[in-house]
Amino acid sequence: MVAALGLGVLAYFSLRPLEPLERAVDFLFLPARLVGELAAPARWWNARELRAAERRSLAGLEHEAREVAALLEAEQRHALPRAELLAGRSIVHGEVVRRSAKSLDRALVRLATTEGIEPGLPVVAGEYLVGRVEALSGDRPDEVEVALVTASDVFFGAEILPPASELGAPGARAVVGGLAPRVEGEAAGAHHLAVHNPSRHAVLSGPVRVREPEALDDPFAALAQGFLLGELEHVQHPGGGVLRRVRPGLDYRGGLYQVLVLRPGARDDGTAWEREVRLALDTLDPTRWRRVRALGGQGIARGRSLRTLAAGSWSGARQGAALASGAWLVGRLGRVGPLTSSARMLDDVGLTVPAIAWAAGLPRPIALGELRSVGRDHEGTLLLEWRSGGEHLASGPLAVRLYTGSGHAGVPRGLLLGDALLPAGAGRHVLRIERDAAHAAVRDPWLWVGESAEVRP
Amino acid sequence: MRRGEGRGQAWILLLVWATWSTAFGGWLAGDGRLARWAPDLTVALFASLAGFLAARDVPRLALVAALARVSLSGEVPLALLAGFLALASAANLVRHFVDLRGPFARAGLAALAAPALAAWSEAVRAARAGEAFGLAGGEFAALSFASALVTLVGGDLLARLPGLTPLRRRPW
Repeated sequence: MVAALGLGVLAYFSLRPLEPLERAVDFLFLPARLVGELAAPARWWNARELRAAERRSLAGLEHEAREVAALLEAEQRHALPRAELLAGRSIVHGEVVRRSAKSLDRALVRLATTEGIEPGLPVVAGEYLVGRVEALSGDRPDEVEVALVTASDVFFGAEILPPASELGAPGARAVVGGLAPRVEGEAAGAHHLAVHNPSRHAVLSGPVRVREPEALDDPFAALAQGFLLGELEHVQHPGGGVLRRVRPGLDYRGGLYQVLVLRPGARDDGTAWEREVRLALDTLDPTRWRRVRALGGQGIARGRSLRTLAAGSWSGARQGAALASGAWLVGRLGRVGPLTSSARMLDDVGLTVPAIAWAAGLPRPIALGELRSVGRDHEGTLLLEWRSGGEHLASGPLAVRLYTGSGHAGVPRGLLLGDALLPAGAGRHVLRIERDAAHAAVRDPWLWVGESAEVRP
Repeated sequence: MRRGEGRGQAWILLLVWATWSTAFGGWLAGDGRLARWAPDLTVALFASLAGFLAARDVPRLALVAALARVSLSGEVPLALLAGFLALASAANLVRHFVDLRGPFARAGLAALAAPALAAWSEAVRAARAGEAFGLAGGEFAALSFASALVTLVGGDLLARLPGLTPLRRRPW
């Protein structure tokens, strides 16, 4: 009876994890780290094949490093708005590291520098407004917390311009901020910005850009002036009346990668700030990676694609950190114990990774948002699920190369994922990812430790 | 040899054998050609030995198997502990009615235990991720068949692995 009860408790907390119990069991299983070493002879069974796979995976590293550097450089270049929006401003490049634990409407952004960065400064991506710097992060000196314009307590004065077909017609002023209520029957992923107090109710469409009132007692109000919020649209409200809302030009949920913080052009003492401060391209910086040893094979957990690695929280491993072979992402850390951790390989069902697509001929890299692994097909090809809002491609499919994007803690941007055909249209797409099997075969991957390394203030 | 003598070393040796079985099973399953038909060798060892141990030692066997598996597989330790202890309880229950030392009985135990453990592991993953259960019936059938076959054919060998004699409840 007691045994059955104990089993029931273990089963219940297996399904609904309780952090202290998980930690206690991790400690109970600390000897597993030593036991794993007993399997060392297993490393000899296919050592020759593994060495060959490793050689193959590293063969193109130099070329791939150049490719990754070009992508990252292009991404930073395309994050810039047109020149007239930069007049009187200096810009600091940043990268969305993760969403805040408190809210999806707050993002933690790693900046190239925090010099001159203050709460209230606007944050943009290309010509679109993202939100405002809310606070300097308490965790790391180079991170700030940004409140997105989707937050219910963030508002911007806005100007609704007449649509291109009605040039010369009067526009309207309004306040934009927070999310508009969802209309019944709309896709769950769709989000729109709320429009408050429009000055003219007759205006129902047109581009919407920031225009803060001149009288506003906000020293940084002028910096966001002219940046776009999206397109005004209207729908019939089920309860009657018209609901005005802004279809945003950015995917605030999963497509925020490279952003810019706008500073005034000069310091308080009148000396000019550096006009543009770019992020260091450190994705393939060897000091940001550490080789980790795998203790077991990949097929032990049936239906999963897991490995046990000889690195745990006591040696700096963090949940979600990227694992790579050369310039290729091969997986991420799952559960991290004190001495060992569980590696979720890229074909482990449910693993998610932020992605960018790029191809020759594309005007700029496309932020795809989050891709989710759905395993492999019967031919062994990796399958990644993509939920597209349909705004990226006018027609398709388009052959692209996929790379990691930003926004997931522990995953540096620009690691290679593979080649795929990107379909046009909104909805759920399963992408077949072509990549050399040698990368998956490499036994001891490289673990990203970049974010635990020292950072400059 | 007096009763109890050498049991400590035997448990340690069992841990070594369980770890190697798990590693070898993983190597088979990691090979693209064999993956589908690879047996669960940790379960095969468990099923082969369960009938030869005293009932009170079967939960210890489960702990050893869970430890071996935790050390190599990357699965959730708590789930593996629960899974193997549940197998131990089931084996102790079944042995009231069936002699688990027989080749067909232990093959039957492996045939049920291997897919049950895989299903449990997948259920834990799905519940923790808030996703749907993702293993197909065909995968269970292949795993069940392969594990049963290995236990049927090689069960005697697994039960007689060097160093385990002090654990067996009666002489051969």
